[in-house]
Amino acid sequence: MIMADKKKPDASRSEQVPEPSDDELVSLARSGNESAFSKLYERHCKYVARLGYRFFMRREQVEEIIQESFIKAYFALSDYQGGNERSFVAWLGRISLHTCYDELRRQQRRSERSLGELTEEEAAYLQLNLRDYSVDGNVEGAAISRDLANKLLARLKPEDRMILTLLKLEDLSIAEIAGLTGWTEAKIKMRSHRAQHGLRKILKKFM
Amino acid sequence: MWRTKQNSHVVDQQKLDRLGEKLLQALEVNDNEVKSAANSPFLYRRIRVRIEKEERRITEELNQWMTLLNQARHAVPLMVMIAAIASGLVWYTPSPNNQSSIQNNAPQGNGFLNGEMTGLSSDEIMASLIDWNERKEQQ
Repeated sequence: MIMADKKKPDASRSEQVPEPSDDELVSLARSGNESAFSKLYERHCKYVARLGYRFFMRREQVEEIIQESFIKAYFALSDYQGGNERSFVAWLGRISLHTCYDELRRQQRRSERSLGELTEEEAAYLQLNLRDYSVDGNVEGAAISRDLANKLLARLKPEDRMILTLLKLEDLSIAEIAGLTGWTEAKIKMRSHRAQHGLRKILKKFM
Repeated sequence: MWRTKQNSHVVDQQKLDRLGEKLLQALEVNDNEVKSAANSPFLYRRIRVRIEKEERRITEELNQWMTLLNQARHAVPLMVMIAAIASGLVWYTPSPNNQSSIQNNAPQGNGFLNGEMTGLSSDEIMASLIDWNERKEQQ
């Protein structure tokens, strides 16, 4: 599960200058304090980068996701309510996830065909490995490169891919995903069912 | 036979699901990649530049609206004046109904010759014309 990197408290330093909380930094940033926003960026940039890498392979794409997410967060700072229930990380995660989703949809619109297309070698490699896996259930045999995994998952609908990633990779519950995406739990259950069915269909082609 | 077929289908699905999980796990990135993207030089600088650009755009848009509002505020008294003049004109000019009733009541033919403008009857006009001709002949 993606967690925001928390800095280990340095005893000697923390006694001198206590680190301001995210909520305090947000209120400072709201009043135009640029360094407060930069501090927020430093704290949570890795979290957004990790989330970006869940959906995109290239570093430039992930950097774009980081930029977009922080820009959106900056202009939405006035909407942030803070408190324990809705931490800054959760709020930022929601913004980042929506940014990733938007970008996935944009990508699919731009190059619907080329996105999930495999080269002949890739298809052959996949068929060989997946057949081996299906015969003896050997996990190593199914070693799939990230590039290949991305190409296969690009054949799914963006929302299906997002749900699957959050469920299987992030280990989030349906309720947590509902909180992140803003969708209803029923919709997420239905989507996850469809996504799994879709994934099975994709994999079956190569087995 | 049906049960064997169903069992094999379930096994197939389980295999596919496990394979699907492997596929998703292949997307896992290592910390170095994340760090290198997060610590990318000038990334924060680029964010700041884009924020400033966006703020400028918003300010310009707001200024345009303010200018428009200002112009509208100046135009309001002028519009009121024009409206007042227009309503005054409408008030003082006879309504089309009155004009049409005058036209309907008017006798056919030339209004001047019929004495509408002068207030004379056609007989009086004829008499004065004849009188004027006679006097010219005598001279």
